[in-house]
Amino acid sequence: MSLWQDANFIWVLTGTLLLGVSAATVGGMAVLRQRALIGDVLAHAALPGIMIGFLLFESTQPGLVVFAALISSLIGYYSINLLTRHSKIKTDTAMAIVLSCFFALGLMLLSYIQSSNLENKSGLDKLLFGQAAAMNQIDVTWLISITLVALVYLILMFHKLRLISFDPPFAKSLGLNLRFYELSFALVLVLTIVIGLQIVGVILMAAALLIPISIARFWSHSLRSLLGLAAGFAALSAFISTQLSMHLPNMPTGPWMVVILGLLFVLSWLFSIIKQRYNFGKSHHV
Amino acid sequence: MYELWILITASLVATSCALVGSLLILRRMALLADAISHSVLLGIVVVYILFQQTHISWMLTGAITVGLITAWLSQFIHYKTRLAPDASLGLVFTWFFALAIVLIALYADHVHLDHEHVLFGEMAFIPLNPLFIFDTHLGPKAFWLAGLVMLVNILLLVIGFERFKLTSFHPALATSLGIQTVFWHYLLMAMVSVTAVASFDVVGSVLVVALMVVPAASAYLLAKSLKQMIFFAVLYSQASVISGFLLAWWLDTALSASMAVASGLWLIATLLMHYAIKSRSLKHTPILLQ
Repeated sequence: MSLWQDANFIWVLTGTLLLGVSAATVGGMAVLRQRALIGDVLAHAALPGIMIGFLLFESTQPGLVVFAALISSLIGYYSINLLTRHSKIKTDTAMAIVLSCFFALGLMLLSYIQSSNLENKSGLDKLLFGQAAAMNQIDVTWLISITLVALVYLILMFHKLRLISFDPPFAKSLGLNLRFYELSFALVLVLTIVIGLQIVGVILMAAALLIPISIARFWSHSLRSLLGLAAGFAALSAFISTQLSMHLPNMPTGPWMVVILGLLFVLSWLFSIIKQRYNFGKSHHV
Repeated sequence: MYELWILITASLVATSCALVGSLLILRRMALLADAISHSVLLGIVVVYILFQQTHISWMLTGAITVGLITAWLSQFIHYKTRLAPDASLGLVFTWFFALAIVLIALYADHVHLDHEHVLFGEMAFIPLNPLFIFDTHLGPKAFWLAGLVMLVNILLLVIGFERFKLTSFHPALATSLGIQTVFWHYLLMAMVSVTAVASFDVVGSVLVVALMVVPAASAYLLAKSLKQMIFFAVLYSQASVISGFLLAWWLDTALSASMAVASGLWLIATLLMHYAIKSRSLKHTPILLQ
């Protein structure tokens, strides 16, 4: 196939696959810690940072985008804490406030940039829905290095994170520094989200974080294989959606990836129902 | 006149949003506003593709259906698969939204929607789409839709005020008194969906959330009763619309985004004021009472 000889296509495919895998595993941990929608909020909160970064330096260099988005998301993260700690606003309301206000600020700046006559502004609106096909080699190199950092972090910290997620008092009694792990996990989560913006876009980043682990829950119950399966499903959907957005013009990669993940969820659910029925019938006979 | 129609329509939409938003916040369902405002897009797109209809009644029907399905399906998945409630909500609405975007991309030639419209709404085009009855110019269509939705919301809120109050603050007591909590829950969901559609055309799908949650949250900081909270929320929403309009005019930016940003600024101002009053009253109270 000619597509396989296209170097850019291989870069894009690698990038999408890696992102799918890291989003699924890091997001999987977040979901298991009952923080499913934090990813949604942080992805939206990244937008104003990217726009301000662009206004200040007039470039869409991946390094700048990642750094600006990181700062902005972290401010969003702390705003949620600030709102819930210092006023009577509840967590869900605080999340909705941060999400909508940060995103609105981002959109406002985006429309300001689009009506101005700055150069290099063409790639910015791609961040909203993601366009993997528009990535080039430099983007993908950034993506790969950050993804590797996230995956290595997860592998190294796996046991401690598991302990902290499922039994915080016990972890504390062992003398683990909970604050450090909270902060470092938040940082890795935000990094994953920030690089995901270029592929799945701001609005659907939450789906890439939480659907794969939801699918995996039908197939396994141990944390290790849950995360592995989630990564596998994410890679599958990433592969299919990259193919689609490469072959068909104007097809957004992110939405396709989410639609495919949703279908996998439905199929897995049906499968688990059938399996349950079958097992139930068998045990009944015995 | 052109700007006036935009302002009036936006303020009607903002009022509707503040009304349902207050109830959502008290029920700790702020994120449901986010979910439904995203998934109504699917209703609009599917109705358009299946029936080729852009008439308001069709759009509202599609949106209410999808809004209710979102609320029901996320509960259903939560019960059946033991997925956490926020995860199942996130799963449903992102999937619906993604499906809608994919459908828009697939049927791009037939659907009048595009990404820009979804995100920003088309506030500046409101006056360009007027309603004619017997060849009389009756003002923009969006104005009539927003007004109608606001009236319906006010009417339902007045009729069901006590029920809404009881099911929000004390669902167990409400159930024991024989009130159908489920009915009032889904009625509110229907109201949210209708409001989301009416607002969708004006402010776009994401910023509806800001208009629903942020003024109501500012009001929540000040109010001592539900009536007060709703009243303050409406005031805040009007202030956001007007200051957002000025902000957009000053910086030459998107109207809808500026209004949402303005609502955030009002919230920050309220928080600071609240904080200042609290620290001052602490200073003046005797140390023993602190």
